Parts: sequence; C-alpha cells; structure tokens
Amino acid sequence: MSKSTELDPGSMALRRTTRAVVAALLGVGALVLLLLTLLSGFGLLYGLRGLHWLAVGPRIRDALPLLQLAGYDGQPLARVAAAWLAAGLIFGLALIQVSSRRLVLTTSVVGVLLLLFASDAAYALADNLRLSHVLWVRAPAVGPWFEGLLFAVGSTLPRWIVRLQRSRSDALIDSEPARCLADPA
Amino acid sequence: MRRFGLGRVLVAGAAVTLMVVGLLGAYSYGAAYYQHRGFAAIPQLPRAGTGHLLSEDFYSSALHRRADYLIYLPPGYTPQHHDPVLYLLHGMPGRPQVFIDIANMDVRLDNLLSEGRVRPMILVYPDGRIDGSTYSDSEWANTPSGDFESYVVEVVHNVDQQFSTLPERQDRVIGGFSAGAYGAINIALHQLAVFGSVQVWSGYFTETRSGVFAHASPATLAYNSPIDYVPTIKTQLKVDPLRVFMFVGRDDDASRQIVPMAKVLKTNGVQASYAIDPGGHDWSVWYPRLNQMLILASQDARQPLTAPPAQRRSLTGRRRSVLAGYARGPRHGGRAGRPRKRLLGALLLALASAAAINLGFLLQHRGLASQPAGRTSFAAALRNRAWLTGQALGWIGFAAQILAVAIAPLSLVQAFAAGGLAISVPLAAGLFGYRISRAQLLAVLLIAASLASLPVALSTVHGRLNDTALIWLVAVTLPAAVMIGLARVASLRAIAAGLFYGIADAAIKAVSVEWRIHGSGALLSGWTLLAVVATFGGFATFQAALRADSPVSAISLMNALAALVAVGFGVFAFGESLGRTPTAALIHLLAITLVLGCVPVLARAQQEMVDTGPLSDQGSRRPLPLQVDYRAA
Repeated sequence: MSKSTELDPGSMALRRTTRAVVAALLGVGALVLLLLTLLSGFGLLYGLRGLHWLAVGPRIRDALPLLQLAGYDGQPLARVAAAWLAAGLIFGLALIQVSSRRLVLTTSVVGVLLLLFASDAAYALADNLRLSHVLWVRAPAVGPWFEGLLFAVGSTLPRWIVRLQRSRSDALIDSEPARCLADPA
Repeated sequence: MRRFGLGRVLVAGAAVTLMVVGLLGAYSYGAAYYQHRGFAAIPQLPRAGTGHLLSEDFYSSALHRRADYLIYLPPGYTPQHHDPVLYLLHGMPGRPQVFIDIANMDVRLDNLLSEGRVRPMILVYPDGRIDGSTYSDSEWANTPSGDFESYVVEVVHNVDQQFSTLPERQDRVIGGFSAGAYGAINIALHQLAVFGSVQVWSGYFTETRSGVFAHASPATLAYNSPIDYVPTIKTQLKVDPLRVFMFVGRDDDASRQIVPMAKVLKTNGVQASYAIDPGGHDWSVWYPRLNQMLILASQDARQPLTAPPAQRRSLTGRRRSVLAGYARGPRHGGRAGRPRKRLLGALLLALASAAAINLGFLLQHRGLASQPAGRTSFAAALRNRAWLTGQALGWIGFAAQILAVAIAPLSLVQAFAAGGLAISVPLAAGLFGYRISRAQLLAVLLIAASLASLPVALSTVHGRLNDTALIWLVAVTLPAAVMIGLARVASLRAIAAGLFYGIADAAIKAVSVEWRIHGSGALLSGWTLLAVVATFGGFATFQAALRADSPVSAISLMNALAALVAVGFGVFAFGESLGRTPTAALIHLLAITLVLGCVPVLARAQQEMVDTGPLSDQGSRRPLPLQVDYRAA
C-alpha cells in the first residue's frame, strides 16, 4: 500500500509554524539553561574561594566581580578553571544532542557577552555608577574572557568523552571480531 | 523505547547536583554582596561583650505616620548610666541595616570597647527611606516627599526620652555616608542646638534641581546647599560651635567640593578638618575608616566645644591619657558581668524548662493511667487533675525553652535541656515513691557536675545570625532528616527526630535574633515556618521511634543528635563559641558529652516510672494536646 507524501499548503504552513515555535522554545530553553549554568559557575567559584589547596596559579582579576570592594575579586587560576570547566560541563551535558559547533558558538559568543555584561554591571553596582556609562567606557579585566573560554571548553567535553568511548568500543570490536561474533550480547 | 542505563542516570544526577550546588553558591555570592558588599563579617573579640540592637517606633508628626529607627545599646548599658549618642544616616539608595550588615558597627563598637579604645556610646540609625522603599532618595531634607530633617530631630527627642543619654549637644555626633553625609552636615548646620559634631563620609554640599528637589525654588535649593548658606549662620556658629570631619575618595565627583567646603567652614568659625583617600564613592573608601570614625565620635562626644584652640589642645592631651588608661584594662568591669549573669540565668531556665517538660509528661501519663477503662477521651482527660497539671507544666516548660534559646547560646541550651532529666527524675521519684538506684544517682551527680562546669569561661558571644550559613546548614540537614526519618528503623527515626529538633531550635533562635532588629514582624519570616515544620517533623518521627523501639535508646539518641546539631548550628550559623579559650571549649565539649552519656541511665529511670501505665510517648519534648488521643485509638 502506498502512502501519499504530498501535503496541502495549509498543513505545510501549520507544520512550519509548529517547527518555528518548537525551535523558538528550544532556543529560549537553551538561553535559560545558559543563564543558570553561568550563575552556577559563579556560585561554584564562590564556594571554592576558601579552598587553599586550590589556590594555584596567578590571580585572575575580575573573576568574582561582586567582591571587588573587599579586594577578593581576583581568584587563583586553578579555582577559576575548576569552577568554570564544571559549569561548562553541566551545560554541555544538558545539550549533548546539540552539535559541538553550535555549542561552542553559543557559549563563546552569547556566554562571553553575558559574562562581560555581568562584570560591568557588578562594577557599576559596587561603585555607584550608571550602568550605561560603565558599559561604554569600561573594558573588563581578563576574568570574564577567561571564564568564557573555560566555559566553552567545558561544554564540549561531554561530546568528546562520548566520541572517545565510541571510538574505543569500535576499536575493540574491530580487534576482536571472533569473540564478538561468538557472544553477540 | 529508549533505555537509560544506571551510568547515565548517575551522570545526570551528578550534573543536577553540581548545578544545584552552584546555584546555591550563586545565591550566597549575591547575598554576601547585598549584606556585606563582599567584605568578611568582622569577628567579635573573645573578651568583647554584646550589646542590644533594638527597633523603636513612634508617631512622627513630621512624616505623618509611625516611623522607626534602629538603636544599638552598648554592652553594659544601664538606665543609671548616661551615654553619648552617634547618629548615623544611610546613603540613598540604602537602609539603616547597612550599618549593621555591611559596616558591622555594633561588633566594631563591642571590640573597641573591650580594647578600651572608645567610651560607651549609643548608636542610632534613623530610616530615611520614603515609604520604606530602599530605592527612594529623600536626601534627609524637608521636601514634599516628607520632612526627613524634622524626623531626624524627632528621633533625637525620642531617643533622649526612651534611653539613658547625655542630653547636651556636645554629646551628640551625627554622621553618614553619601546622601547620609550630605544629610548629616545639612541637618547639623540647620539644627545647631541639637548636634555638636559631624562626620561627613563622601558627602556633597550643594543641591540641584533633581529628585526630591526637582521642583524646588532657588531659595529652597540655597537653604539646602551648605556651602552657600554657611556664611549666613556665622553668628549662630559662634554661639553653638561645631566640629566637622570630612573625607572623600579622590575619584569621587564630590572630591572637588571638599576643599572649598572646609575653607568656608573654617572661615566661619567651625573646627573643620578633612582627608582625601584613594578610591571613588563606595564602601572600599568608607570601610577602612569605620573604626576610626567610632573612635573619633567617642573622643568628640563630651569634648567641650566652647574652648579656645590652646585650651583644646591641652584637653586633647588629657583625653589621650584617659584613653591610654582604658587600654590598660576594661573600664566597665562591673557592668561587663551583666550579660554573663543573664546567660547563666537563661541556661538555668533551659534546665528548668527541660525538667518541667519531662515532669509534665510523667504527670500526663500517670493521669491517663489512673483513668478508669473506657474513659480515655479528651474530655475525660480534661477532668483529670494530674493530666491537666502535666499539660500546664509541659507548655510552661516549652515557652521557657523558647525564651532560653532566644537569650543563651544555642549550643549550650541544648546541653542544659538534655540535663533536665537530672532534676525531673529525682523530683518524680519523690512524687511517685520511686527508688533511685546508685547508678542513677551517680548519673544525676555527674550531670550536675558537668553542667556546673559549663559556665566556667563561658563565651558570651552569640545572637549573630549568618543567614547564608543557616540556609546552607538547613539545606543539608533537613533533607537528611527527612530521608533518615523515612527509613523504617527505630534508631534512625530517633536520629531524625534529633535532627528535626535541632533545626527547630536553630529556627527559633533565628526568629529571636530577627525579632531584636525587626520587632514582632520577624514572626512572619520563613524561620517561623521552619520552626513549626521541624517541630512537627521531630514530634512525628520521635513518636514513631518510641513506638518501635526501647524509649531509653530513642530518648538518648534524640538528645545526642539534637545537641550535636545545636552545637554545629550555634558555631557556624550564630557565631557562637563553646568557650573563651580552647581549653574552656574542650572542657565544655567534654561536659556536653558526659551529660549525653548519662541521659540513657536517667531515661531508663523515667521509663520505669512511666511503665505503671500503658503509655509510650514519654520523653517527647514538645507537649501537644493530641498526645492524649492515641490511647483511645
């Protein structure tokens, strides 16, 4: 029995609209997830700030921008790396179905922009300055750039790990065909 | 259908957990900025006393509504002793609590007092918010949005009426930061008869047509621009001389006004001095000078303002020698003992409350056991004198325990509560003709000795709520209590009950701390809800544990866990210390352990006294009327 694949224009339009709505919803969901994981990145770094054994490497200025008044905004490299790689990992795990290219694009462009904005907003808040003025005149320190980079790298880790596992299992099958045939399970 | 392996579920669970931990951390990060601007809270020195932070309200005819202010009474404050007052005005946007949360002025004052670097002084924080909105800007001036300058003067009168203050203008210092600094100098210059000294932290001295002055006339603007009107009050300044100290951040726009203002003040007879610090217009400029501002206020208060410069120098020298004398030893040795006595009283109250609760339960059980078969309804219990007395004792004990938790350190109250058996068992034995064994007598004596050692080198530091730490502790402990309580093992349920009761006590303590700042409104906080939920959780799990296992082990486990949680919460969430020195802390820890070790022995005695009746819910610490129903069921 054959099935007609032709759809009437009304159904086609409905399908396109549905697709667009679903895509928009997925986009909004991804953005919300991005915001939440960025927040958890700051939270993890804030939680790690007391770990002395992780105080390794140079201080990354502006890593915790809200602590600038107290002089604790600069955090050691190892702490920043641990927190932001973990945050990126969470984001990558949640969006493991998304291609690496899209993921890196989202994290490195939207994520870094959000981190730069957060840095300027924190500076304006702490110094009682107008945000629009700060956004125009202030260049954030290395912190948000570095955090964005680590976040992007962290987000690609889950797919790399999955690929690595697949290639290993493929290699195993290739190297032991007789055993695999004998025990198909 | 797609299958999810255990590995994937574990990875997903780990990711969700990591994200939740991160979000909780982000909340703490934001809260740390909101509360402390990222600065670490100032630790209280071990020998420092603790004063009282109160929220006072009165009807303000200037604002046409009830208005409030915060007041900090120094350690050892008594109505018999009159102290000078420092009035501190917050910036805009802002709120009075910033002086407590961010600046820690109360802890700073306690520490400086203990070091003998300042004299006792009352701190007052008026509220300059329009209709309570943090983001409003009243400029502390009389404008169509409210007569806030007049309100500050009303606060002064109210403070003088309600508290034991020195009523002379030279004994009142007014200061503030940002808009509060502007308000302080503007109000002091308008109200020369009220204030003798002013501190201006990053203030400005001119008003423009913006905010509450948007529709102001040129005359109003001039009246509220100190740099303009100071020459016009030169004659009054001769009668009521003023002392002004100003500082500002170099990068602050207002820094351009400070030199001209100092010049205007000096040429018109004001003792003015100033400093320009590195920084802008924020807490990194104000924070390093906070101790200095308290010391300066302490020196300025009581300093005669009419003295000529030469005489003033000699007075300064004399004042310095007096301050050096303070440094040699605490000036308020006699008064410093009062908080300690109060704490001891509260701990004894905890002991008595626990004894009352235990005794109350015994009476309830005895009363119900004496009822004829078939007459075990609630109405029948209401006619039973022993049961009624037990209920009354139980509720009085519960109320007393809440009071004790509010006054004394949480970590010690719990130990005293566990030790209540040492009173209730001998008392009940006398009442019911029970013969106490040698082991039980030894346990009573050991508990008495242990509790007697607790007040030695007792730390009086408590009552400071670190709500972020408390939220974290509750976030860990409460789910743990629920999970453990769901297990159908009696001992685990007793452990869960201890955790619940510990959380409930911490929540009650949090409400009492908030009460001191916000008044009765603190009852509507989430801590109250937590206290109720945790109390019911503790009650339910404890009853389940008692029904399933030996009451002796249930009571012992519950008390041990409650004490453990109380010590942990007390230290980490309320900044308590088990003792003034490490040795004292160790002795106190040993004493608490000894008390808990003796609990099983006395719980067994209590159980034996109860065993005359068929009841099984003795030992529960919270008496509830529904306890009588289970017998009928």
